Amino acid sequence: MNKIFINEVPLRKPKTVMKLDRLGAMFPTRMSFMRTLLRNLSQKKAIITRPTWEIDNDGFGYAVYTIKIDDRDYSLVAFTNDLDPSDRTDRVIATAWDSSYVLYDGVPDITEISRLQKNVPRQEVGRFSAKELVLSRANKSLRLFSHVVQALKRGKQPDTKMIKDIGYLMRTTAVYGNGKFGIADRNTLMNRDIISGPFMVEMLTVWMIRGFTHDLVEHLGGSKLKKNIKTYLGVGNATGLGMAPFLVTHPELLSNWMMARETGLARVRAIPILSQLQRNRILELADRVVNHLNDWEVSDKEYQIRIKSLRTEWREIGENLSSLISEEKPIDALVKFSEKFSLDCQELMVAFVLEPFGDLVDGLTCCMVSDGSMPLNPVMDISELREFIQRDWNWSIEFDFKSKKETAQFWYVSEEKLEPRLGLRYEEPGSELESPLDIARQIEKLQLDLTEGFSNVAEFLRKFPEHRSVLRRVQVMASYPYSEIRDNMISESCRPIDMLRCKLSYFGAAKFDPKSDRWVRITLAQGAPLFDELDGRDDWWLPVFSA
Amino acid sequence: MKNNTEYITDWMKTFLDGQGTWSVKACSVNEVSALISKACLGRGLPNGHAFEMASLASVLMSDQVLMGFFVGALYETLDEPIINLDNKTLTIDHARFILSGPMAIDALVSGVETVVLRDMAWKRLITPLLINAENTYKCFFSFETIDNSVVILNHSDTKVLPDLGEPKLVPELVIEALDLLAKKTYVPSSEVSRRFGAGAGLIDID
Repeated sequence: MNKIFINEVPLRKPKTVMKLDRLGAMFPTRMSFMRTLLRNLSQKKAIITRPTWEIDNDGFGYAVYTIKIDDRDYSLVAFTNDLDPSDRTDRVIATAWDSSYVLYDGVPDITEISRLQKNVPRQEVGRFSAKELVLSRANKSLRLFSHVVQALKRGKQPDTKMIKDIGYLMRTTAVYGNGKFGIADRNTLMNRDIISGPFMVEMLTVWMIRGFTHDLVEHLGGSKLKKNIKTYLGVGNATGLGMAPFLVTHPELLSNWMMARETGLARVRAIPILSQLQRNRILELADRVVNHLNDWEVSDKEYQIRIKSLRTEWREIGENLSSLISEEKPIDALVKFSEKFSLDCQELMVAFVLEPFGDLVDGLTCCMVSDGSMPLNPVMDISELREFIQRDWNWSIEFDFKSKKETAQFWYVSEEKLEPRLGLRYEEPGSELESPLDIARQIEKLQLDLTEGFSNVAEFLRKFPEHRSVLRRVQVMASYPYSEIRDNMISESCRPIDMLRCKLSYFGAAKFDPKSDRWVRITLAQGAPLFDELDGRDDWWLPVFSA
Repeated sequence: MKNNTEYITDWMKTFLDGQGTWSVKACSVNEVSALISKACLGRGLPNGHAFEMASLASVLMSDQVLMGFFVGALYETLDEPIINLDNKTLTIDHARFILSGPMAIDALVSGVETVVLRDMAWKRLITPLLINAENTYKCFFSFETIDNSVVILNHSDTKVLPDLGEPKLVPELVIEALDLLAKKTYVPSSEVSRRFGAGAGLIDID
């Protein structure tokens, strides 16, 4: 093992890392949640069975899959029904889906299945209990699903180009956890080992849905998919604004995610020298990146230009790779070399250099959980609070909130679906009901009132209770340096898709395919182990289709 | 629509008269917490106070009557509190639970020995407030009621507050009343919002 000098390379500074455009350039890593989950399931030797398959010849009905982790059972209960094509939409305002799912705590008996059957297909309108851990739904890929079924019916395999281009049979449009619609609170999972990590039950649900989609097409087609095709078929996902505010409303959690990744990066950058085996591995992964980037095509013109630039930049990295990794502190050299390229390239490099060094970074995933919100510290001296603002919040004074550009947008909750949305302040009604995501502006207001004459926070808040929330954020940032996105969330230039990509990359998503600046399609679990492959296989970062 | 006072007077009568016969709903703590937070914002509370009130969800849910009293506190008229710190005693006149509750905890945690809350209408809510603060700040508190509207909060060397037990089913009346306030934070759809909403204009040919 390499001798590590952990203190030799500092963590990248939050002021560098936490800019919105950089967050919007992130890639999945081996520390992403789906990857971590499957690694842990392998280590636990989890076993999946399919105790119930009540799916008819048209593909409608229900099925139950049960996974045993340690001594507990968790069951994915899947329902499918005939959906009128006119009802098929990715939007959260949809009311019907091709399939719906619940991750059940235990193994449901027939009474429970009957209860679930009445509620799960109705999703938000249904009602759930603490036995349900996750609720989800998915629509078929119209392009691919029936093509695969038809091919299998003819005893053929599906067209590989279509498999490569689309990459999933079904696309989830929501994956709900943590108490939504009456399902179990997250606290229920606190002491459940590998399932207690962030978004672990949600990822487990998605991975099991993927297996169900494989089984469903084989059932309908009457023959088996080739293993390489099956492995490449992940689960699609369409994500919109509903997910975006999460990163702002969970500052401690965001910081823990970023801190773990940045610590991992600092560790690998400190590696003094690489063995031949490690160099070979890096060269092999670099080739995979080339192929993955070549496979990544999107319809959004601006994004496609970014991808093309990335391919060019990665080519230049490839030309210099052998010499760079032969230097001392080779990973540090690679990261520094990437700094002359785009943010996309820099962040791809971060994910790339983490990949070969599981022994240095995988353990850090335990630190990505958060046990709740840090309470306000009312004892803190006002002078100390001022010091923190000066030290940590300098970035927030860059914005001129008198300018219309810096206040052009506002976040709100729509009456229609009770979901977050982003409006144009000077064109749309409703800004008086703005959601408080304007953190930088709140800091400005706090500073205006933070005059002399207050001894501590408690005293200040008795006079100015309206600053309680942002003042707590200042205190949080003092302990959680990566807790804030250091940008103006109400600026004309704020692009929600950057927040979506950041969060989705932590889930393990790849092939980001934006459909506007506020919603994106991605693929999860592409290349991941199948149900019968929980045998330690952990080499599926940026998967490439192998014909 | 009735004003807040008329609404809550009628509501509270219905709520208390119907004790034991309420329709109830199984809710997760997170669900109730999110609803309380929105209701507080709809009531016009600062975001930070909405957060503190939302954090009371699990303790409030341990007693259905407490949930009803919380609704009462949420709807009561918010007079400006009159605050006086004298030596180590903080006195708040016109103390309204949703505004003064967090201030009282802040004061106790920051070294004030005694907090006197005057004109406090919903005294039973002090117990969940203090229990939540004990869980958060890992210290003990006690309180006494002097007369109908004065409550005195103190530190305690030992645990004297009762355990409130597990969250229970939530009366539908409570959910409806909270929802009524929460709805005040929702923005109706407009042509522009539909045009620029996530997924707008999508044709699902995938």
